[in-house]
Amino acid sequence: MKKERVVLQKAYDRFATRFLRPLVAGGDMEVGHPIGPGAIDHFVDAQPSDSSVTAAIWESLRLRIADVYEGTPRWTPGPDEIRLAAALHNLLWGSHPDAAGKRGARREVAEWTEQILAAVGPPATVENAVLRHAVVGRFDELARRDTAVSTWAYRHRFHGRAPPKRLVALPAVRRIRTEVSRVRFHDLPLGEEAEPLLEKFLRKTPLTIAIRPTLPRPAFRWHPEVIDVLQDVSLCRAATYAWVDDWPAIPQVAGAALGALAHARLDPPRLAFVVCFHYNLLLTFAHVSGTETAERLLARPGMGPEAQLFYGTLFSAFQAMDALRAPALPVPDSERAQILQFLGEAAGAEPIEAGRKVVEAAARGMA
Amino acid sequence: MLERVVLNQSRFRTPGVAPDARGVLLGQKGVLLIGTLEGVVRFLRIWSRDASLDDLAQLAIRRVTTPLGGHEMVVEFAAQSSYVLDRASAIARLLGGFAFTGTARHFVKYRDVAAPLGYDVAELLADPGDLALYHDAFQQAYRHEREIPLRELLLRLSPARTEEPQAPETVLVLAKKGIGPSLQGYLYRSGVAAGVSVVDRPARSAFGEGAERLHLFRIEKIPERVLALLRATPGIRVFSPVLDHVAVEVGHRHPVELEGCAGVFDAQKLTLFPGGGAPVEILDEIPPWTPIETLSSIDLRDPGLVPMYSDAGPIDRTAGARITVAVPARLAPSSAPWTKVVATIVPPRQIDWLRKLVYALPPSALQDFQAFLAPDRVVLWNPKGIDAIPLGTFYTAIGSDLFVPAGWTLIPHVDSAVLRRALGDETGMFYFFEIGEADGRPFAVRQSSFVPLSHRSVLPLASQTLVAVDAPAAEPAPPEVLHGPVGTFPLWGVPGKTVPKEGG
Repeated sequence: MKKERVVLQKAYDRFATRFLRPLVAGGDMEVGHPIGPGAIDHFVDAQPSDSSVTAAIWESLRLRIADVYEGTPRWTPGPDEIRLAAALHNLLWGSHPDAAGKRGARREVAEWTEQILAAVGPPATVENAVLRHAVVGRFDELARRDTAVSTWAYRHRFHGRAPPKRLVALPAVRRIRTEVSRVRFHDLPLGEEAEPLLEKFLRKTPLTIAIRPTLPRPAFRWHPEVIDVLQDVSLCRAATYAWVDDWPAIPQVAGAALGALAHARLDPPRLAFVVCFHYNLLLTFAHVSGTETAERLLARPGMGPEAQLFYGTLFSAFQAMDALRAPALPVPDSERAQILQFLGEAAGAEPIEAGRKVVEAAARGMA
Repeated sequence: MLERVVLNQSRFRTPGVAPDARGVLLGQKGVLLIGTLEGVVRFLRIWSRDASLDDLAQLAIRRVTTPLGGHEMVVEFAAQSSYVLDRASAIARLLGGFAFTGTARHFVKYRDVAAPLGYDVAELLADPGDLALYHDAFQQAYRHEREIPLRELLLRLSPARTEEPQAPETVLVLAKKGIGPSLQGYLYRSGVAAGVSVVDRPARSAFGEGAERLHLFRIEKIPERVLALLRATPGIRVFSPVLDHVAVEVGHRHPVELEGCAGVFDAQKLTLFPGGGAPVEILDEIPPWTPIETLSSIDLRDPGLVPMYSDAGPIDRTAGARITVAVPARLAPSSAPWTKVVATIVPPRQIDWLRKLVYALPPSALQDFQAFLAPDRVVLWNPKGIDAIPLGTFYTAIGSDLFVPAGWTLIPHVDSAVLRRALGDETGMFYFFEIGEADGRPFAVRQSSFVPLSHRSVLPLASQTLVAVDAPAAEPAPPEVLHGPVGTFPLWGVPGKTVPKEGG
């Protein structure tokens, strides 16, 4: 039994040092053996043998949290954060070259990942949500370093591995050319099992969904957990500014999410929050853009039906807001009228009607 | 179009009219139709010569338009009796206007010699607009364009030049700031009974230099020569009060008799009508008058005002001899309650107590208290009161910059301005009279020497500079994934493949 604990602690040290620390602090991250469900119980209670690893994680988390939250939550990863990191590790294992073609093993690891994720509930507090986002929120920025070594006869590819030294020795004499490329997370071959798992994984960190609305997969949707976590003023502000930063892509993404609201079956107060969030987004956007609001508002590569629905909802929200209670757009009257005109022209009649229905449903929640 | 009213007629087509006690048809209102604004002014002028404008209750002057776009003026007022309307009608007729009576919108011609009891309409207009007037020569509907408040009209009228038959009994004199003190001395030397006050003329433009300070004198029984001199002096305007709070420049007359317009002007403000087209002066409050003798020196240096005699006969004035009643100021106990206790002088033996008290004082008190540290005393001054520091000898303020111990007063009881002048009248100085000191010799402290007590309350502190821990300046680079060795059988040797059994 003691021997087993020693083995598990060694595995945890390896996980904390080579995976968890780079995940929050940057650097080279190693994805080795998958993490079994039996190891998790040890992982969530374990501490790294090297205290400098804890200090590095602590410091990086503090900086990451400061980006989105003004409070002072508990800064060390707790059981839920460890589980989420382990789940991400196992998802990444799906792209391991040694796992290619081993269906049985991949299926088994997918089950392990599902078990690990099932043990993670929705964040109980704002601090929990912030901490989860701080630990795994940058998952989409991960990239695998691939190396291609070309000789006069062959071209060797190494996926996420360094080429053997003998292969690249004497490059000038042997005319060896080495190319290093980065494969982004969303281009990694995680396997077909990963797709539903990735969505489950993200649902466990709703703040990440709110702050990264433009993730290519899974597409942004207004889940109840996302709305609940945005009830916090500080997090709502962080998300709003993130949306403003991502602007040219936002109308398309947000419009698609608005279009899917009918399937989300949100209760009226949550629906009301969604509309208020959009109006607040317009306020913040006007505040940031100043007199160029109207031009920036419609700076878009193309106008799909989703974007039209987005503009229609903004238009309807703008008209429906109680002038006495909701804050006015921080722009002059002339500019305000111009914005309304632009929104109306950009949306068109049908999206405005659809947006009006969304806003009316939300108004019942406000009442 | 109109029918004459006959005696004992009780039913009328004109709404809101009824015969009064004399049998004259009367509504609740009277309306005068006068062509122009000048006509209205003339009406007011004539009316106010023999009666008060206050008799015309609910007076409203309106500019109305006809359906064809023509403009006329109407004067509306409450028809309290047919006597009031008789007089108004007579004046309107004199000015080429017409008088009507009614209640709401329909007004029928008021009585004349042809119909002593008045007229009733034969048929009402279908669209009376805001006001429908029925005359035997015409009937017309009007729309209200705007109302001209009587006060605004009176303020816009300039007094016309006229010659006063005699000097008014009381005058108000408005003098520019530079002339005020000289005029005060002149009036005092001339033995003219006058009160003085300083008033602020509000800035007429936001770009101006702010409110202008003026001296205002009220002179009773002004001699003709003084009046003539004042009227001829640039920078001085002399006004003759027509009401307690309204005055017109001497030598001028307002087109309307303002005596009958007491209710039009705000009784809390002083309204002055200057001549020559100058704008009306409205002073925000009627100032309190201070007799000029209390502001002048009590030292009678001018021998010309005092007959100088001695046992040996008149004194030779050229020799520089003079008589004086000047006395040294000194402190005397006072039974008056303590007011404006704003300073304290803490003696050296209480300095330790003061230090202990500084720890307990709230931040606002530390900021409000101003301290002056002398070698043998600490002077604390707080315009809001010094209740927070129960140390030292308390001082009350006379004026803004003279201080006497609480429970004491200065005699003789002269104005603080006189005392200041006796002390040299140096601006920015505080004077403290102390008990037991030589009479009339206060010590002076320059106001700029006071600093907030908070600036004096902490000794220099030694500090230790802490160095911040180096923090990463920017977001760390995103991690890069490298795969570790797994082997041909990737799940072999994986720790925790199975969940351990409970208690195992």
